[in-house]
Amino acid sequence: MNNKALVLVVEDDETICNFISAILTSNGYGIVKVSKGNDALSAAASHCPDVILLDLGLPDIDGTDVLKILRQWTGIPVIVVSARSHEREKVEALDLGADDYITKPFGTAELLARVRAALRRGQKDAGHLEPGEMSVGDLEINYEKRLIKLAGKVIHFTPIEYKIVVLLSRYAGKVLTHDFIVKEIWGPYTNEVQALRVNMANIRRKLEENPAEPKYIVTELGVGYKMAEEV
Amino acid sequence: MIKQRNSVKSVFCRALLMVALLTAATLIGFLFRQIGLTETSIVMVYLLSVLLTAWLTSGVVFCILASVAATFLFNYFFTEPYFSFGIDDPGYLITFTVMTITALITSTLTSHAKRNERSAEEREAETKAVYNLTNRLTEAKDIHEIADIAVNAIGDSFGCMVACLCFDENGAPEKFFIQRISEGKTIRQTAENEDEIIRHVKEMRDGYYDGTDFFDLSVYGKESLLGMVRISKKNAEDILEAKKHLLRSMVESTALAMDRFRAAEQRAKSREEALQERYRGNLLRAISHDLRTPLTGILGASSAIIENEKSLNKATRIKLLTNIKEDSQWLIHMVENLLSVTRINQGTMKVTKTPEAVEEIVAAAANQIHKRFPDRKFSLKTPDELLVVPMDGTLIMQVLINLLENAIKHTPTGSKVSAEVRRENDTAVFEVVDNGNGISEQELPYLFEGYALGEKNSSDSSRGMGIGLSVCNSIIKAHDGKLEAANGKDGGAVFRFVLPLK
Repeated sequence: MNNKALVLVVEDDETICNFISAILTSNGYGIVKVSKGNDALSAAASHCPDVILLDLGLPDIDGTDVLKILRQWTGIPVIVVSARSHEREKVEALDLGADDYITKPFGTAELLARVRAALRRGQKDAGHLEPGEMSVGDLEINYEKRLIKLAGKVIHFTPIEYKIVVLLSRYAGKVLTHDFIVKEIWGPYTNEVQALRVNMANIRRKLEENPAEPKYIVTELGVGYKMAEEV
Repeated sequence: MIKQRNSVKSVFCRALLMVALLTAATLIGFLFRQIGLTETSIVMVYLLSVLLTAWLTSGVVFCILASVAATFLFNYFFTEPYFSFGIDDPGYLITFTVMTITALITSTLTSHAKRNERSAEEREAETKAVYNLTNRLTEAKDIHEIADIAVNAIGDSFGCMVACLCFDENGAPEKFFIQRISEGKTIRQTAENEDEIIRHVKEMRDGYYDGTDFFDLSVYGKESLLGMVRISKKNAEDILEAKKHLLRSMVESTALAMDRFRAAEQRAKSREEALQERYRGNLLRAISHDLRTPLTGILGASSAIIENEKSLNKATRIKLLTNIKEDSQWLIHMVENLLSVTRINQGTMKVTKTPEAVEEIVAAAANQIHKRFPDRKFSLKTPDELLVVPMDGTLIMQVLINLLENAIKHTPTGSKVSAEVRRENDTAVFEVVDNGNGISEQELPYLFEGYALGEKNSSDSSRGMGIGLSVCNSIIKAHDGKLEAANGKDGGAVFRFVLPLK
C-alpha cells in the first residue's frame, strides 16, 4: 500500500521504540525510526511524514529545540512523548507548536487514538478550509450563525464563553494550554487563568451532564483544556 | 547619671543650698544670742547645718567646704571680738578645731551613707531590669521575639535608640535590624553590607566597638555568634559609660535566651530528622518488598515464554503475557506514588498550592481510573457551584486515584463505588465510598502506616494497597488537611479527606 500514513518515531530508548513501531506497523502505519534529534530533522525533511512522535529527552539536542526548528518550516502534526510530572515541559512543548502530548507510560489504545487524532488534524489543516460548522457527539457548533446546540437545543453562552468554546472547537483534538487560551481570549499581557477557570466551570455546567465526568471539554491537569473530537 | 549630665547646673544648685543652710544657721545663731543662749548651742546649730548640707548634697567637697565655712562663720559672728576673725580667748582655738573635725567626720559619714543608699537603689533598679528582661525572654517564641524584647528592655533602661541584628544558624547576619523606635514599638530595618557587618563584628575587641555614632556589642552564645546590638550614642553617651555593666548583663541575658532557643530548635530538628529517617526506612523496606513481588512475576513469566516457546499453547502464553502486563501496571502505579512523594518539599513537608477547580481534579482522576478499569462503573458528584481549593492538583488527583482504585480492587465487580466532593464551612470534603466488606477492626488503626499492615498479613495483601494509603496520608498532611477511614453505616468503607479552603 502506497497510501499508508507515515509516522516518524523519534525515540532514543530502544525498547520503547520497538514497542511503538510494533504497534504502529501492525495497525497499518508506515514508520521511520530515528534516535537522535539531528536525524529527526533530516528524516522529517526527506520522508515528509504525516505525524511525528517526538520524545523530549534526546541524546544530542533537546526535543524542544527539534520542535522549534521543525515549526520554522512545517506544520506536520507533532505528538510529544514526555515523562510524567513534567507539566512545565509539556506546556512549553505545546506552546511551541506541538499538537498533543502523551505521557509515559502509555498504553497501546491511547497511543493509537492520539495518532489518529493527529492525522485527522493534519488532513484538515492541509485542506485549509474553515468549515462553517462542526459537531462532536450531540454538540453542534455553527460558526456563521454563532449558534451552539446540544442535542438540538440552543444553548446560551456569554460572549467570552462562546469565544472559548469556539476556540477549543477550532482546535478540537489538540490540547490548548491555559496561556494560549488566555492570550487568544483576553489578549496578551494579561493573566486571567482564574477567570478562565470560572468560565470553564460555567461552560461545563451548560454542556456537560455531569461536570465531574465531562464528555466534550476535557481538562488536562496542569496543562490546559482540549475539546474531544469523538465522544 | 543625671548629676553628670547636668553637672554644672547641679554644682551651682548645691552650692546655693550650702550657702542657704549656713546663712540660716547664722541667723538662728543671732536669734540665740538675743535670747541669751550660750555659744555652745550656736555651735550645735552650725554642726546641724553642715550635717544637712552633707545629707542633701552628698559631695565630699561640699562637706569640707561647709565644715570650714561654718567654723569661720562662727568665729566671725559669734566669738569676741564680733565681726572679726581675731579671737580674744585662745580657748576658742580648741572649740574651732573640735568643731571643724566633728563637722568633717559627721558630714563625710553622712554623705557616704547617702551615696551608698543611692548606689544600692541603682543596683536594685538594674537587677530588676535584668530580672524583668530574663523573665520576659523565657516567654519568647522565636529568635526575633527575643531580639524584640531585648531592644525594648535596653531602650527603656537607657532611653535611647537600640537595634538588634540576629545571625542565623550558619553564622550569617539576617537581612534586617530589629529597631526600637519608641516605647514598645519596633520596626524592621534593612541591614546592608552583609560582609562588612560580619567583619565588623568579628573584629570587635572585648565584644564591643565604640564608634562615633554607635556603640556596638556582639551577642555570643556558647558556640556561635548570635547577633549584634547597636545603640545610638545620641543623648546616651554618658549613661552608656556609667552603666556599661548593666548593658553587658542585659546583652548576656539575651545571649543566654537566644542560645537556649537555638538549642531547643536544634533538638526539635534532630527529633524531626530521626522521625523522617524512620519513615524513609519504612518506605524503602515497603518499596523493595513491593517491587520484588511483581518483578519476580514478570521475570518468571517472560522467561517461561522465551524458554518454552514451542511447547506453550496459545492460551497459556496469553495468560503469562497478561500477568506481565498486570504486574507492569502495578509497578507503574507504584512509581507514580513515589514520584508524588518527591513533590512534597522535604524540608517543610509542605506543597506548593495553586487554586484548582475541584471538578477538574475529580474528572482527571476519574479519567485515569476509566482507562485502567474500563469495565467498572462508579458515580461522581461535585458541588453545583464552582468550588476552588488551593492545592497541588497532581497530588490530590493521585490521592483520589489511589482511593478509587483501592475501593475498586477491594470490592467485587458490580459493586457501587462513588466519589463525592462537598463544601463544609471553610473546608472541602472529599469522600470515596464503596459498598464492599469494609475495613476490618484490626486493620483500621494501621491503615495509613504503610508497611505495618503488610508485615502482619500475607505478602499478597500488601500488594492490594501497598504504600498507597500512607502516601495519600502524607500528601493530605502536607496540604494541612486530614485523611480518615471508617466503615459506612450499611457496610463498605468510607475514605474521607478534608482540605482547607484558605
